[in-house]
Amino acid sequence: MRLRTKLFLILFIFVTVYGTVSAQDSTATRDLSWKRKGFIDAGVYIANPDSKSFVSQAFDVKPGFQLAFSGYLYPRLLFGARYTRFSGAMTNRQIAGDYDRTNFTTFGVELGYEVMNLNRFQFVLQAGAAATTYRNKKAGAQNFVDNGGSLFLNPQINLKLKDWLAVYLMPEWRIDYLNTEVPPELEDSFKKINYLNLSVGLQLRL
Amino acid sequence: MRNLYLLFACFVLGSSFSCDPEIESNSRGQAKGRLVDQNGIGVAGILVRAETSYTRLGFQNTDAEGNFEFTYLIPGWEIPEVQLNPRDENPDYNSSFASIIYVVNSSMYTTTTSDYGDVVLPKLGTFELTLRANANTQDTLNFRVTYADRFCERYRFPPEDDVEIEELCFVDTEFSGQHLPGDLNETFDFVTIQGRPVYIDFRINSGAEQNLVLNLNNSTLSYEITH
Repeated sequence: MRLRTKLFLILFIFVTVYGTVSAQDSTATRDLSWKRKGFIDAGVYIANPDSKSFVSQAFDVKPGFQLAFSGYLYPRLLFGARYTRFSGAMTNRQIAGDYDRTNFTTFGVELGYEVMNLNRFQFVLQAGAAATTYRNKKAGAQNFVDNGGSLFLNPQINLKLKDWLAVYLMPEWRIDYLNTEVPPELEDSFKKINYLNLSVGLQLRL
Repeated sequence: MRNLYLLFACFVLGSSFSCDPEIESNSRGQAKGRLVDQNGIGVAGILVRAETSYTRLGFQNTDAEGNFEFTYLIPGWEIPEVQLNPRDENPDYNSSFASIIYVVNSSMYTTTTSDYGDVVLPKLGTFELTLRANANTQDTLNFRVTYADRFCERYRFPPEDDVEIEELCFVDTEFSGQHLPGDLNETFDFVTIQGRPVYIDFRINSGAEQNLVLNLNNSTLSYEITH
């Protein structure tokens, strides 16, 4: 397992466990100042595909960004939409085919549960589903796509800076299921792609 | 023909219609095989590429054992071909070996693995034929040379069709001429396949035809006819 994947995995587990354990502390005081209509997140999105996927083997993946909006359905239940995008420059055309670069995007919906809300911290467990598009570019040819769907689990810790502003840290476990038709030998690297991603950014509290 | 219609459509519709080649979305194929010489030894560093007239779909240089295996894109409407050691636009072209083109690859429209197995990539050699007229000779030399062309174009269908037609591949070709008294010395050189015979048939004046069979076993072979 690559070092970056290990770090992401450790961070993912830490955020999830820390948030859950903290939420079970009955002495914690609930900070009602978090009670808002919802949140808008914008931040850097660092993708980390698993090493057997064609994304990992054939691309130099660059950091991207994510935008998310979520609103309270019930006192602790959030519902929202999330858009992520990152890009990759082709480094191994023998693995993926002869093209130059790809923009990887997802757009989907998510449910969140506010597990912890105390002092300046808020911890939200989130999961969702998205439509996924890998838009591929090749010089001298029309763009073409690989698309499919994604499932993701993305616990999030928010640290309040102002009444209306917070910073967030969001590790994400994401699985892309692509519709790409490939020979049987390539299915392991093309059909299902695991990611351990990380997003850090700012949160506007509405 | 279909390409011509599409090019015509591009011309008529102008900028409102993208004329760039299409690539099929959500599709990949795979090509693999091994390039060997006439002795069955793998040939390293040879470029193998899949392409259409307008765009390259995939490529790889063979490894130390002559193996290649690469993923290629599926073309939208153009006819794909696989080229082994292509001569054009190939900085890695190896002039010691022949080039082979698979011009019909119906399996390349589907997301399958096109397994080419062991492909013999023959070595090339140069044959030089020199015609020399002795001083004051009155003899006329008529000659004909027959040799294997280095050009190879194969049709290939999916293995399940159990059809592989080999056409226009290293076929015999010939040239002939006449060398008159007083002509300057002439040298003809041509590239052919090593291990294949070169036939030289010649006649001086109206004498009996002489037939020679020469084997090109090295990279060069020279022969001289004097009359």
